Amino acid sequence: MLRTRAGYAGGQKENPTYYDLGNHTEVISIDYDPAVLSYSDLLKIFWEAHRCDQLNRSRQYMNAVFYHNDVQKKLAEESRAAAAKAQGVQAEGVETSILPVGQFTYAEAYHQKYYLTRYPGIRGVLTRAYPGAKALADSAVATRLNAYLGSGMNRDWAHFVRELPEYGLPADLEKALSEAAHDLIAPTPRIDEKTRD
Amino acid sequence: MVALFVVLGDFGKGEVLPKADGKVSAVKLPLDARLAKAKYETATFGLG
Repeated sequence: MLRTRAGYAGGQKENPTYYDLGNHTEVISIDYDPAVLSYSDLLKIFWEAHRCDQLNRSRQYMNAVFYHNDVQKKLAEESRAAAAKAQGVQAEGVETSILPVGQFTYAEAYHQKYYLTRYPGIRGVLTRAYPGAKALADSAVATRLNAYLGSGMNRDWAHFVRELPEYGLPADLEKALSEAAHDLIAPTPRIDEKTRD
Repeated sequence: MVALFVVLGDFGKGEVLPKADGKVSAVKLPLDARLAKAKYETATFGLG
């Protein structure tokens, strides 16, 4: 994955905001390298993350695939049928929608890169480099840092350390992150090794 | 007091948020500059 961003899509309101969505849905938009990751790979993750017969509370919070072209639409429909079969759901019981994306609107800046709100120093560096919701949201550096510093995900810390110099962070921040990552990469000594001396 | 509540109620409304335009706007940091040149596709999902 290259970049991710939060936003609103699928509706008709011209200028949605969080407090005035119209009939848009809150969505995540993902830019990916098709040579590395396929749309079908992303669909697989999507279907495994929820049951396709899960009732949607509202249009705002809805499980849905918002396709960008006919190829994505076809793949989404085929994968939905496969997911329903795998989950034991009859066709009439499927709740997850497949809809055209329409116009995507970026969510407000405070919605972007949420996990970085716990690291104001890092977020401050990024917002100085990229003021405004769109620029911060479009940053692969911000996307990666948000993912690495977020919770509940497998992290390749060795890859993080190799890539860190390319993030363009201040030297002291890069050093601190590198040291923290190295602590996570290094194996924890066993108890008998620690007490041997 | 009523005027204050009216102002607070209108907070955030009227803001025009940016739209997707197919362009990557973050190119200042080295990794961003490099990846902005990469061929990519976009997928969008509502996650409930």
